Amino acid sequence: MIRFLAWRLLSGVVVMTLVTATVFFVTRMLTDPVRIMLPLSASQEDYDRLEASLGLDQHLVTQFWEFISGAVRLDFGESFWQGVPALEVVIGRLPSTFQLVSASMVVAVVLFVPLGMAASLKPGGWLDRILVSASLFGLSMPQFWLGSMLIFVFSVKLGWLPTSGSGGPEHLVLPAFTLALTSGGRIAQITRSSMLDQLNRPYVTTLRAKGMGRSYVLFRHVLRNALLPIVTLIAYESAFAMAGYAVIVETVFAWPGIGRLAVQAVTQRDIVLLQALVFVAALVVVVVNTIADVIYKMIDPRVNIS
Amino acid sequence: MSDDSSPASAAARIRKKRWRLIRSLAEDKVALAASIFIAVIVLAGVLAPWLAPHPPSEVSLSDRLVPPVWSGDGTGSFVLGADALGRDVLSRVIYGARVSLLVGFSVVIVAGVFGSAVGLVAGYRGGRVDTVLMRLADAQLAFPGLLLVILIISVIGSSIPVIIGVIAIYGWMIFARLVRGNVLQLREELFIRAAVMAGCGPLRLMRRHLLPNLMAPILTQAMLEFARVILVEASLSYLGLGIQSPNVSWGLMVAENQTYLREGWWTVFFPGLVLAVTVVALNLVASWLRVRSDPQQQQLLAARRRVRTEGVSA
Repeated sequence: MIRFLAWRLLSGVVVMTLVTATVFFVTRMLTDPVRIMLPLSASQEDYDRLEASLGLDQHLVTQFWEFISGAVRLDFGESFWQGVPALEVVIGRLPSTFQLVSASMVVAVVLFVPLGMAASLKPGGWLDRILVSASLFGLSMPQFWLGSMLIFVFSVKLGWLPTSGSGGPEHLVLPAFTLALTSGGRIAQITRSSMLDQLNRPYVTTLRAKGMGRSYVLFRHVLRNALLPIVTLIAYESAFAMAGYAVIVETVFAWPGIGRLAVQAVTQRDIVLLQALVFVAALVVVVVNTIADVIYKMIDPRVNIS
Repeated sequence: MSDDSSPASAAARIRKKRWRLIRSLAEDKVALAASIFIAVIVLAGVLAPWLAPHPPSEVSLSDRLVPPVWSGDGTGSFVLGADALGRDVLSRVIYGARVSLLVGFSVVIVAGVFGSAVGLVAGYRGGRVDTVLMRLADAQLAFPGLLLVILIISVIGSSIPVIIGVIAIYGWMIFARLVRGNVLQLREELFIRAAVMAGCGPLRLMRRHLLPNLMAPILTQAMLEFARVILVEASLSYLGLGIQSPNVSWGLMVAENQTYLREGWWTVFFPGLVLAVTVVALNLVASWLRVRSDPQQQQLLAARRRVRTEGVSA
């Protein structure tokens, strides 16, 4: 286990180094960040002052060293837009995204895992066929459109829920459902195929032949064995959503999370903030993936991760 | 394989094959409807300047938020209504198809050709080349690049070539993995080994023996990617990072009109609906293509057909 953890940690460090190098390359080589941040009317003096204050007048190698050592200390400099350390701004938004993603995953699991299970019991049956086409529609639905339509029906027409913003739990309902409905199809499908795979194994016949009840076998044996791919997918989807993939939903509902912050940083031309965002998002994914691997090892002794 | 290799009979064979393909499409009602819809969208995109009743950016403030034609207050000149600037929603949806198709085609071709080439080389050469290339593909596949994409676009600015480029950078891996997997299987086949033994060089082997057998899976994957790409383009445009006004994109239309949801739902509803149905249709055709090109599934279908036509009396 310790060897496994050390190995995961090492590969995490490699990934983070690559990300940092890419960010450095994109922001220093492909463009002049000073020009982007300054208004068009800025004078040469303004330019020089900002360049010096960002350390961009140094040699590229020096800059790269500063950048890497800054990233290690999690110091990315001050957000141009907010005037406070960029990392603080990013961390301030993390809880909102976490709230949204966990709520939507709860909805998706409660709705779609039982659906996938039910469909797997009768492959080719009416429920199965509905599930296959419904999940296709869910996956094909543009989130920004589904979100807008939900707002139109439940906020504008029926007046049951607020249109956007954050605050009480009622603000969380529509964004969480939008996210859950568009990713739920995948969860239902993987549940179905994983269950089917297990249901066809001889141990199921043996247990049934021994006289064990249908639902006992189903929940105590089949479901537990089928769980691994489902947990993998949920972890994967959560990690991506945490890393900014919830940006569309956050924008539709003005939810103050990571993704929306990225869009705001673009509008504010705040490259420092964007750099911090990319770094933190990558870090979140590395951490979530490592935790997920540890969980697999705990729920399934068959997993040999090294 | 037939030993008759005269050009005339080869042409006849191809014709027959094509005819069989069309017939099997006609048998599958869902796939047929989906391909007809895609054909309509392609035609609309190509013929936009002749089909659209209005120029896409024609502003007419006296016609702002005119509802669709069937809703009582609507007029015949704005079939799907007008947006907050009095621009015709139908015309803009038709022009939006152009951008979606352009971006979709370009990305699928760039990513498909590059990814397939990588997969072909990795699968054929094996060894260290394979390990390095596939590790790279896996790493990129596992890494959520959306924020990096946003950073790149914000730094170099948004234009259609940039959008095609960044989406393609995140699309080649899936082709590489698919092609590599298939090449690994094919390499063990007798006809490939026979070709190698007959002195067939690597380039000729890839072109004449490997690629023809890879076309069906690549085409299926290309369809699925096409669907994904137009969804990504629309999403980027919705965020203001993709297609910029005065160009028209379905995603941009939804973003522009969202504040008028209360007064004019049709300005948001129709562009999104067309986008969603297009994506569904592409997925349906892809899954038909997959079943169609899988010999095992084909046998199953044929058996089922026999049962249906001959009955089970035997």
